[in-house]
Parts: sequence; structure tokens; C-alpha cells
Amino acid sequence: MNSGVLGARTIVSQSGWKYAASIIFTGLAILIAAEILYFMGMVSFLTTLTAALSPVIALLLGIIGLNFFGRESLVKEDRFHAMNVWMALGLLVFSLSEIAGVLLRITGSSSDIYFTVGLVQMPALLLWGLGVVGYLRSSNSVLGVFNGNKMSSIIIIITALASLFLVVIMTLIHPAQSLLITFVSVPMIIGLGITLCILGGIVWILRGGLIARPLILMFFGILLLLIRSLFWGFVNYCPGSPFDYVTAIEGYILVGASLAAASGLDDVFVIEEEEEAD
Amino acid sequence: MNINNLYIIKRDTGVCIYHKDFTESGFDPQLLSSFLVAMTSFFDEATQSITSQARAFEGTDYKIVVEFGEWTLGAVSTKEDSAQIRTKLKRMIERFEEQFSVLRWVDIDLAIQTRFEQSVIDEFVRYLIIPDTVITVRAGWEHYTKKPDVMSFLRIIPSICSVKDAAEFLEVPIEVALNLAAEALWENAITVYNPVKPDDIYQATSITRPGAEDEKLSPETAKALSELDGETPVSIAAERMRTSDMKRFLKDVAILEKRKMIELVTPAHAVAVRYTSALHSLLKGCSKIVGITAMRKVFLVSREKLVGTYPWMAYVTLEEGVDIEMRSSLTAATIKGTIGPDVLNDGFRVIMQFITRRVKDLTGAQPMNRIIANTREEIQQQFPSTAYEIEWETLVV
Repeated sequence: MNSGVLGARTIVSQSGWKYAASIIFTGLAILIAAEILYFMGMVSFLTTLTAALSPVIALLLGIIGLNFFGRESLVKEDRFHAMNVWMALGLLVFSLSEIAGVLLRITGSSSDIYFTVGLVQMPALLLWGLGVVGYLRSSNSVLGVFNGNKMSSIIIIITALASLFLVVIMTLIHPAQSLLITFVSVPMIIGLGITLCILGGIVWILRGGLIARPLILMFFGILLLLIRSLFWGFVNYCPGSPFDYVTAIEGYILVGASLAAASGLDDVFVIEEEEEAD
Repeated sequence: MNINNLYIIKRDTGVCIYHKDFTESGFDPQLLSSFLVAMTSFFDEATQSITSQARAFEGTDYKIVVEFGEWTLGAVSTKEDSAQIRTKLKRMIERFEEQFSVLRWVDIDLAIQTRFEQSVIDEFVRYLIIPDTVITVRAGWEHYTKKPDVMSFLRIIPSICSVKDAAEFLEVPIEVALNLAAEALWENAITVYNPVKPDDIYQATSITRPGAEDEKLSPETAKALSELDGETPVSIAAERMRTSDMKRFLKDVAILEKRKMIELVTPAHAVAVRYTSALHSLLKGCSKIVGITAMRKVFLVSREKLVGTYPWMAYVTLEEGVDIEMRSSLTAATIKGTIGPDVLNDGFRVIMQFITRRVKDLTGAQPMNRIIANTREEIQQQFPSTAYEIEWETLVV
């Protein structure tokens, strides 16, 4: 075969996207149902429903994600695979935090809910951060966007500065707010924000490829969870409300959908080649 | 490629119509030509086959490789029977039959020895000369050549120098110096030596020369021997040995080569090693973004598509992760030279094109081109003087 023009028509396997689409439709259905119940005035029923759904969905999607990616060893140098495993494990830990929140609300110690839930969410966020940063390092080692050491320094400096800035802002906005709450919400907001920025950068670099699609879903999922954390930190919004739970559910659903979509990338190609020799 | 003699024989009469002796042995070509024609006819008769033809006659340390033209038969006496030698011999026969077609019907003097000389130089001598080749002008060279160009070339250059230096000395383009050196070698007025290059690949030989046990190797040279496994370029072997003095290492390798303890691998094997390194580097780079599982599938799907056109590609597989492995049967074929470097070159280039185009769909064009550029840099470090033989431009998406 000479150096011919390879006119390749690529049909990407849709199996991963079928799962992703069904998960996204479930999310939309929950959203619509929540709207209907809210406008019908059935707020207490909606609260109970979403409080139950939130941990269940995070748990289920975490298990599904592990089913897609957890079968193979983490030891091998596959950062994309590792990131998805960490995201799935993170979802499982988030489900624990949701369960803790529900239990605390039932026992009635509402002032501590925010602190406890936030604290349990930390390991989940750590897992997500590990996954995303690992993938960034791996991609960067090939694409060379940043100098390796420079990248770590930038992340550390931004995290430190943003944390300080946020503590000051939160203290100014809510001077009466407990310091415990501030010290829980700041790492959450910063962690999610940094993860989101890194993910946004990766999506931007890979925007021309199919791999960007699951990453975009992941981006929006984390964005919803960041919005939830921002509400907790700034609006003095009561955790455990239907809006809070729906935001969390939709966030988990988008992250779960991204895992399903990413799993489809393994079935990469059914290709019909049209080769034209020069 | 050590060629001792070249013969072109008219098939119906068994007369040798062209002969070149590269070793000055003084052997009568007509004796061999009659033998070859008789033996090939004998095999055809004995096997009762129209299609089968004797292709080689083997001695203990030489082989006579035979190829058939329409009305001539070409033979070379050589140490090895490889696809490359056969390709060159075939080209030689075709050129001869085309240039002297009238000899098929009549026997006339066409000054073949002189008129066919340039073709033989181009095919069998010119490739031995590269810009780094070291020329040693023979004492009394004036007795060997009467060609004015060669004489003025040898008169001016130092008695030992590289072709590149000779070109600078004469202030002529390098191509002119290369051709003049080839002609001088043809005339036996010079001897040539190609120094060891960092991207040369050597393999240990099993030849034990008489008296070799008396020549002790230095510990460094002996250590260098263990690193030259037929897969590793000299530069990488030096890196593995953590040698700080590359010149010294190259000298050690040259000593081993001189003692015939190592030899250069065939061009086909060199191509295979170079391309498997490039392919591995490319797959590794891509897998850092799209993951190992996806990359394994991309490779296997691409290979599947190409096995029909390049059956040998079925023997290129993946080990753990994205490590490329060439099955032993293909490796043996490349080492023996029974598969041509052009065939390997073509197949590997196409599979890399397939892979880059597929990965582009996943990552987008810009990251893919970045990975190709990284792979190119890596291969240029490993194979500084041959990395350009991979057509990188065709891989860009």
C-alpha cells in the first residue's frame, strides 16, 4: 500500500453512550418530578423522596462505575482508567456522606449536619482530586502544556491563596457563623473549584476529540456540587432541603453518566475504511 | 552485505557475459557459469516442474544466490542469502536485459564490461559509502586506477579521511564526493570503513576464530558485548551501561566488530527495531490520554485491517500494556533478511497512520500531533541518523 490518502469514516461504538443517555434521562425525570412536586406544594414528600434518592443514586452510580472500571488493576500506568476508578470510589464515599446527613437530620441535631456532612465528603473529594490531578499529570507529560514542577507549584499556590481569600470573605459575609463550618466549607469549595478548573483545562485541550464528551459530563456534575457547596457556604442555605438534594442528585447523575460514557470509549471503533490509493 | 562475485550468464548457452570479481580471486567465471546453468537445468529436469527453479547453492561459508531473468541468469557469490541481495540482483538483471537486449539474439561485442560498470557501482558499491565513511587511500593507488576524475580526487584528499571531510576539502557537494569514492572503491584504489554510529544495532555472532582465546577483552569491552543483543541501538546500550565516554564506547564496539564477535543486523531487522520503538512510543503517548485498554483496541483493530495486505503483521502483537512484541518467526525472518526492509517500512508506516487517525477521533488533532512530535523527538534521540527514515509527515493528522 503506497502513501495513499486514507479516507476513514469512523463510527464510534455507542454502547457507553446508551448507558450515559439512560442515566441522564433518569436525572431529567427526577428533576421534572421534583419541580412538579414542589409546585404542587408537596415539599415534605419531595424532601423525603430526594433525601432517600440522593445516597441511593450516588451509591448505585459508584457501583456501576466500579463495575465498568474496577475490574482491572490500578497498578498499571493508565491514568484515564485510574481517574474513572477514583471518581466511582468518590461517588461511594459521597453516598456515605449523604446517608450521614439524612441520619443526622432524623436525630434532629441540625446545626451539626453541615459540619458532619462536609467532613465525610472530604475523602470523596480527595479521591476525585487524586483522579483528576493524576490524569492531568499524565496528559501533561505527553502534551507538555506545563512544566511538571511548575504545574504542582501553581496548583499549591492557587489553593493556598484561594483558601485564605475565601476564609476572609466568608468571615466578612457571615461574622456570626461558626468557624467549624467555615473550615469545612472552604476546603470543599476550593477542592471542587480546583478540580473543576483542571477538568475544564483538560476538556479545553481535548475539545476536538470524543474523549472530551465524558469529561464534559464530569465537569458539569462537579459544577453542580460546587454550586451546592457555594450555597452552603455563602447563602446560609439550609442543607437537607429539596433543592439541595436535587442539586446533589443531578451532580451525581452527571458524574455517573460520564463514567458510563467513558466506559464506551473502550469499545472504541467499528470502522469502515475507505482507502483510496494515490 | 559481503559480495564476492557477480555473474550474468546467458541461459541458453551457459556463457558468462558479464562478470565482476570484488575479491580479486582470479577464478574463471566461465567455469562457474557452465556449472550454474547445468545445475539449474538439472534441478528443473529432476523436479519435473515448470515453476520451481534452483535459487541458491550453499557452501560452508558462502552461498551462490541465483535469480532468473527472461533470457539471462544472475548469480552472486555472497556470505548471506537475503531479500535485499535478491532485490539488487533482480534489478541488475532487469537493467542488463534492457540495456543489452540485442545479445539475446546475436553474440556481438558491446563493450559490456565498460558500459555496464556504472549500473553495478550504483547497485553494489555506492550504498557502502555514506558521508561518515572513512576512506583509506591505498599505497600505490596510481597502479589501480586510470580514471582522471578518481585520480585527481585521490591526489588531493588526505590519505585517511571521511567522505564528508573530503567533500569539504575539495569544496564539492557531498554527493559528488560520495560518487567519486564509490568509483575509487570499485577500482580498488581505496579501502573504506564505516565507523560505528550511535544508532547502529549489533548482534553477537557465534563465530569463534582460531586464536581468539589469546586476545583478552578489556572488562569494559566485554560488558559492551553483553548489551548488544540485536534489539538495542548502540546509543541505548551506552545509556544502560551508564558510560560517560561515548567515544570510548563506540571504540569498544568497533573492537568487537573487528574481531567479528558482533555484526550489524540486517537492514530489515534495523527497520523492524526502529519502527517497533516508534510504535511503542506512539502507543504509550496516546495511552496516557485515552487509556491503555482503548489503545490496545486501537492497535488490534488497526492491525486486523492490515493483515490482509501485510500478512507478516499478524506476528506483531502486544504484550502487557502497550509493549510491542514481534513473534520469533518474524524476528527470524528480519534477522535472516528473508523479508525486505521496504515491505516492513511500508507496513509499519501504514499501521502508524491508521493508529494516529483513530486516536485523533478520540483526542482531537492538536494533541495527536503533539504526541507524534514527542515520539519523533524520542526516536531521534535513540536513532539520530536514521530516525528521518520514518515518514513522520505522513503521520500528522
